[in-house]
Amino acid sequence: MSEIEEHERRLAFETLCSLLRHDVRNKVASARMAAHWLKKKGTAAGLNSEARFDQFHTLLESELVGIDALLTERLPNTGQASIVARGKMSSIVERALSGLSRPAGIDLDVDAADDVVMAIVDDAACALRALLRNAYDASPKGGRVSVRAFVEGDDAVFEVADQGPGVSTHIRERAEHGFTSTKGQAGLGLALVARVARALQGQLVISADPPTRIALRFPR
Amino acid sequence: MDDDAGALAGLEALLEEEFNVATADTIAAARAILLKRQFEVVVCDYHLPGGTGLEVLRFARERWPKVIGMVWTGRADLAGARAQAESFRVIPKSEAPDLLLGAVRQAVTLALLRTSMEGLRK
Repeated sequence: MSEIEEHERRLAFETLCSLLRHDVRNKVASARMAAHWLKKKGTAAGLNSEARFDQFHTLLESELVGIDALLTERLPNTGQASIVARGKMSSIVERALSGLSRPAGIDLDVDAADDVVMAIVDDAACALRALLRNAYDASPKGGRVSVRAFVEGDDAVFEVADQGPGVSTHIRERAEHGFTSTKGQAGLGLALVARVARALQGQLVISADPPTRIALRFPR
Repeated sequence: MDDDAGALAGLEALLEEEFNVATADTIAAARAILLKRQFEVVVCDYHLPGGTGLEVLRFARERWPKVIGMVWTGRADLAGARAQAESFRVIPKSEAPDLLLGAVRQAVTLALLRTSMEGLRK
């Protein structure tokens, strides 16, 4: 496995852990709120004279707190501290493309500026790889995928466009939450890109209409 | 506001016995409510479909400059959440409900005090 593929796997795993932590924590928070309300109402109704009432409320609360602690302790952020470094946009694109096989019958256009930007270079390359994979998957036979890396104002922009059917509003809105994909099945790609974008104080930008254009944009 | 129905119901149940509460599960719904009504405190989840809670809190503050905004988040990287939360207070969802309730009480008290002070000045 190449270095970039290994990095991509690690990033995907971290993204998955982060999404799980977030989603499970939301559910635990809801359950704790509900338990809190039930305790209050139950006490007001005199249910606390029942020995099991307090016992079970305490059990419920401690188990929920335990789930939260498990998330933190057993599902740690496994990543090493990411280093923001200077890198050429064209080198990031080159790194993203290395070892990524292009499906037969799909053309690829690459136009990458040589501007130097501040980025977590390998993370940015992995995000671009994820966008490219999505574009390849969405492209019809004979389609064309284009990668552009350019500077716009104070931002560095890495944009991937394809001639696929476009990205639905639902997927655009849920992209950062993960487990949605442009292929209509569970996916991590866009969540991974969004995670990288956040780490760079930037954003994931998805066009509303076909042709599909998805960009990683961050201050350079 | 929160896009998670369970969290929103829990939040409403926690706060409605002490405060007048309005809830929203989308950014658009929150904006619509904020256009019509003034609030002392706005509590908002961070990750929302199509944006973040910060957008709602900024909108609330533009509309009602004295509003106190809070980000209620399940994000694991609290340091990151705090760094991005501008001047809004960050309350982790992993904390006990009483912590959120206490923070809202504190904020409402502060808002009422501010209003009283302004009344005295007039």
